[in-house]
Amino acid sequence: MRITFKTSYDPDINLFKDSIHKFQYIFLLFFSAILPFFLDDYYLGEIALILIWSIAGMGLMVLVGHSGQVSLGHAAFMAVGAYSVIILQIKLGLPFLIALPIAGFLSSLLGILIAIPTAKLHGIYLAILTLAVSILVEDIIVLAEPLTGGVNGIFAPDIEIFSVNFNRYGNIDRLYWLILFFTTLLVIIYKNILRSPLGRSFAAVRDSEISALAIGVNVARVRTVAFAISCFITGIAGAFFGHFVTVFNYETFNVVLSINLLLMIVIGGLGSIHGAFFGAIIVGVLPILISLSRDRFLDGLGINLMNFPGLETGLFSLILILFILFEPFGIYGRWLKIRTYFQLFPLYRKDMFKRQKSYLKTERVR
Amino acid sequence: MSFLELKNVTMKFGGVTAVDKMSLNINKGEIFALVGPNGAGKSTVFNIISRLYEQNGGEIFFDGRSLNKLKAFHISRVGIARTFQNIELFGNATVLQNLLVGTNTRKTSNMFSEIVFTRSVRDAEVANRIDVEEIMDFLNLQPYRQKYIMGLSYGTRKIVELARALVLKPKLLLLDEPASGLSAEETVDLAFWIEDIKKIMGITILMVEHNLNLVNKVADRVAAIVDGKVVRVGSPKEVQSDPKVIEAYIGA
Ligand SMILES: Nc1ncnc2c1ncn2[C@@H]1O[C@H](COP(=O)(O)OP(=O)(O)O)[C@@H](O)[C@H]1O
Ligand SMILES: [Mg+2]
Repeated sequence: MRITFKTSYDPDINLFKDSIHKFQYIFLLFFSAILPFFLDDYYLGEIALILIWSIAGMGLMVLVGHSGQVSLGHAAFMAVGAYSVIILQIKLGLPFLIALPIAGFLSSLLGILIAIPTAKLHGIYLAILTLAVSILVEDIIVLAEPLTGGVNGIFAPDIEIFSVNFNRYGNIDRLYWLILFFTTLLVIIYKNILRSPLGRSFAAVRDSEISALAIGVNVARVRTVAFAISCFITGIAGAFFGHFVTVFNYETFNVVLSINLLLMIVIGGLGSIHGAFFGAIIVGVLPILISLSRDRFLDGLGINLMNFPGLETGLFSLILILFILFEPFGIYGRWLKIRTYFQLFPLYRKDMFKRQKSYLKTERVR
Repeated sequence: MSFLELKNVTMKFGGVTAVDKMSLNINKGEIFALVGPNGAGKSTVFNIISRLYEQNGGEIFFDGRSLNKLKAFHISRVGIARTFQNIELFGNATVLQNLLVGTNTRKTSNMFSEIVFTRSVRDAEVANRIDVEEIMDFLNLQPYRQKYIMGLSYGTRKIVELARALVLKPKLLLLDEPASGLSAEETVDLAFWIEDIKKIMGITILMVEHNLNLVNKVADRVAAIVDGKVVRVGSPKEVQSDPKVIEAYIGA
């Protein structure tokens, strides 16, 4: 058990609560940074993709986990990010480093356009509305053929930053580092939001709108800001996703993707940045595990899983159901319990976390 | 003009008239209690003052200005803070975080400086903590500093809600049944705190309370409310011995 004595408010406010904590995360970053020296291109690509899912997960986490608003249409914001960055690069010839934030802001703009008229919608109603918007976005992509390539889709050009080239097939290691850099940047931004007044107003709006109002939180505005930030981050994820898959069309960002994003953060653990990463790891690792077990194990038994097209989604849903039943706090919640168990050993009590309830609660009975 | 003035305030829910042409005057520096049977409209009055409800008629003045045009989130800025009958805390956050939300109204930073977490944001955070810490010391909440609300007892939550209201540094504090659900000892503490809030912090208090011991101990004046109307205003003794008030309680 580690007890930190505090003599000032700084440890409360700092990014890391103590130096051990700080060391752990710096080590993690260092480890991630040297991965290209150990992994082959295939696995490095898969990990780059996990980072992209983590960014998208963080985007959705801001909205669902922190401000308590559900979106079933976040694939649309990834789409806006992906199409924008590439159209800006090709049609306007903007450099990637300028096109990327603009893509984020365009996605953010769409989020604001949705958030303002829906300020009074909660829970299932908001979910349905965002779903409708995402279907609309798919249609618009098809209709805006001159820009988006319509049903045929669009090709991503290479990324050039100060005449350094980034391309998934040519040099995945550089692309991986680029994505890792932006992931780290976004984590720091997210952490800063959580430790500042803005993050607290998110939690206030999530947990009790009426007392948030009574305490001076402009609830409608905070909800809109949450949408804006969420969609910005998701748009950035979309931009990287576009460059990662290199060719895509409107179907890439369909409703199934939106649902998967939501499942991902619920499984990972709502309400924490860790949750977004744990969820992304599951999403990234599950297909690899399935294909490995298919190759090594099931084929030998004469079972051909190719006959089950929806297997991944099915397994994913099964995991989700198990989590909601047995661990509503997601993988992060489970991890906290295991850690507490070891920290307090042998003093851990079985009921220590009993009082905690889950909160995919976005609607309150007034 | 009195500090808080309700003028012919009426609130209807469908066919139910919850508050019926009610007029009340609360003076600066006093502790004013509303008593009356359940469903009399006491909480509705609080919700109208907080602008959570828009009244159907009448007007409310606070510190010389009309509240009619204000939005709910403006109310804390004009100097009114409140607690709720059925505790409304931010359940998935710690006590510290709950109280810190109360400092948001005083913030001068914008979203972008918060995202970068500039030096001035950090300094403001330290100042906020000093403010919050003072209130936590006052209400003996230090042991719960980093505890999550959902793990706290009912009585502690009530005190946290009171603390959160005080963090706003209000001029007027609305307490909706602050003693309900508290143990006898907790109620004794509460009585001292309420008196200190008035005397030391100089805050005017309007409270709804069923516990007549508490009302007798702390209240300067009391209004008995029945069916959305004021039946009697006076000292705690006067009101409790008024035959109309006794009848309303027995009848209810
Ligand atoms: N939001 C609401 N919708 C409909 N009726 C309400 C609402 N709020 C209060 N009421 C009704 O108004 C009346 C007064 O309620 P309330 O102010 O809560 O009483 P008290 O706090 O004095 O016990 C009750 O009849 C109650 O049912
Ligand atoms: Mg009431």
